Amino acid sequence: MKPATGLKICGVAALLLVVLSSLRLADPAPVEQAHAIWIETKWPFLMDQWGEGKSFQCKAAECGSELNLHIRAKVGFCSTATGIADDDELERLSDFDFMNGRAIALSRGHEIDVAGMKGRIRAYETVNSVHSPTYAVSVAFNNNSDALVATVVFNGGSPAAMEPVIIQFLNGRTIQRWVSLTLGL
Amino acid sequence: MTVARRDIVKSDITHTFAVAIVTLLVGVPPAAAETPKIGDPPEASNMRLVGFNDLQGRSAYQPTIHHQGDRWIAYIGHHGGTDAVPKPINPLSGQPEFNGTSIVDVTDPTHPLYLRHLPGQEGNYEAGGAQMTRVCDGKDLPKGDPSAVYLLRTFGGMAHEIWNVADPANPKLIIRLEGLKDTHKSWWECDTGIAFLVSGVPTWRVRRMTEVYDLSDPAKPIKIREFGLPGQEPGSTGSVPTELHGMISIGPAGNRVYFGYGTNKGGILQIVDRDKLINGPKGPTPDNLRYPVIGQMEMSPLNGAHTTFPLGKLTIPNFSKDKFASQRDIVMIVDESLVNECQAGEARQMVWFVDATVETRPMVVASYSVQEENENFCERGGRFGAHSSNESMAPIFYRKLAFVTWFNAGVRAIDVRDPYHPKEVGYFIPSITAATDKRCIKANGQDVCKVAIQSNNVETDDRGYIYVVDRANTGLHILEVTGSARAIAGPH
Repeated sequence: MKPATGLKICGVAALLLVVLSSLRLADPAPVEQAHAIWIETKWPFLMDQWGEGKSFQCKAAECGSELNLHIRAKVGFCSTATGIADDDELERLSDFDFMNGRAIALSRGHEIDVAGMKGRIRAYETVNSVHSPTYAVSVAFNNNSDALVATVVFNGGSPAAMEPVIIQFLNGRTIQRWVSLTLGL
Repeated sequence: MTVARRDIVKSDITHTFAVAIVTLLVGVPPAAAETPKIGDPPEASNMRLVGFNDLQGRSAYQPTIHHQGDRWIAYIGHHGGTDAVPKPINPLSGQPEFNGTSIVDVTDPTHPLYLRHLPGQEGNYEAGGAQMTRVCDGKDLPKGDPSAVYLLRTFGGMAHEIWNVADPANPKLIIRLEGLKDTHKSWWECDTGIAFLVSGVPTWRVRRMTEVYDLSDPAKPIKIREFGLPGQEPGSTGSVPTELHGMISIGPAGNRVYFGYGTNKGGILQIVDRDKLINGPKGPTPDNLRYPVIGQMEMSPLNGAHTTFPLGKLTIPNFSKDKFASQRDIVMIVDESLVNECQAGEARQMVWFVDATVETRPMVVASYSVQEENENFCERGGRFGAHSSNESMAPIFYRKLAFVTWFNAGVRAIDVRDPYHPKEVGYFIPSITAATDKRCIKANGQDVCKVAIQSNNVETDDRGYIYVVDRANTGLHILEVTGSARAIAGPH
């Protein structure tokens, strides 16, 4: 192959890469993760069997839509052998009561990885008689038999677009420090 | 075999003094001094060790004691193996075998004779083994082979199996009901053959729900229906209600099945009309699931319902002169502790006494818990809390004494004659052995492990022996009650 031909191929490949990358960015439009600022808020729910966890909010200005994230541990509630293998297991772990109404799954969930812990995420539309339709995302990941379950509620934007910013926050120091403290890791 | 010749009761004064001396001399905190050691005697009050078998060092769940001809046979279900020993050696065969079912001749309880190990599903801890056992004689089952004795056991989480154990040393597999995602603490009525199997039918949203089967002819199982809480059935959405743990039926005469949902959280007692459950509409719709339910009690979400043991109608001593409702219909609920050393994520798991006289409005009227104060059970290692009660309704103990396993606090004997005021009247905490496995918690990112007894399940036989098995591989302890506890039970 002539050097000039090789350069042309490289150039076309680079152009394709840029085009493909921009297409991937365009659908759905991702939130600019670097700008996401999460502020801890008061745990808003009544006491139940799992106790309290942590709540955080990311304003619309930073995250594209106001995200309210609630996370807590469910100690000993996960199968060590199978983890969160499917949507049934994710739903068994999920905090549907934290969502603003009846949750209707938008699609099948998929696997995620949070700080080396395997898990699963699924998006829902929630409907009730008071609020206009909102969205919720349920995320669960596990360390042996202990599950960490996060519920994120938001009014606008696309759940797919919000996923990277949510996963990035779960991977961040704030949450990982809390996970270590809570599970004694 | 180890036999205790006398009860050994710890003296609080001696114990406190010894702890104080140790603390002063070496600065060891009192809790650390409580960690059991090999060679320590058992701790006991009004209970005595009669016999012991090490069960090949396998982690044990359910013992079922069956009077089989002129013999007494214990069928003991096991959890899967451990990370360290996933496939223990069976000394009888010389082969490594996945944990399954131990079959032990306990005709002479002072000399239990290990007959056979029946391997279970591959997998460690809850992922393998064959935890559950129930046994019926063929002559009692409506369509059973009169010469057969049937063992119904789980095969890990994937199946239920029925074996002919007429010759308990040479069991023969009859049938396997498989394709499940979990199993657990089933119930089998020997007089009708109706079985309430804790199963994980893949289309359901929980790992554990109920399959009702007609096993009157164990070779030809007939599935009657699936059952669970509305919201667990296929196609439902939203929050998934607490999954099943187990149930106890009092048969066609009593016409009730008592279901317990939850382990250490979100407990629910469900009182179900047995006839409507078996003969009512069967499709798993919310309406059909509600149809046979008479009463349902949601416990504090901080506690679960491992065992729901009906004690029937009891005259309450304090109400004995009342012209109305002096007798109360009582159900004893036993929670299950899951968390080691009282760590985060779990409230204390204990025993609850429910007055279900008005079945549509059951209500907790009393509780029982082992006293942790001064005994430091939370620091001894492993789990501390309730797990399981005996389920035998044989007259010797039924409605008088109940036995409840409490992990590192051994087995506790509770006087239930006045269920509004249950009272501990005895206990036995076995000694650890070289086989007893460690239990760990995390502290500052490191595993901190201790070796402690983990009394897991208990059953009694018609003769008055109490069979306690250990989750931490220590084995089977056969006990009897003594002193004031024996006086409550009456003549043996």
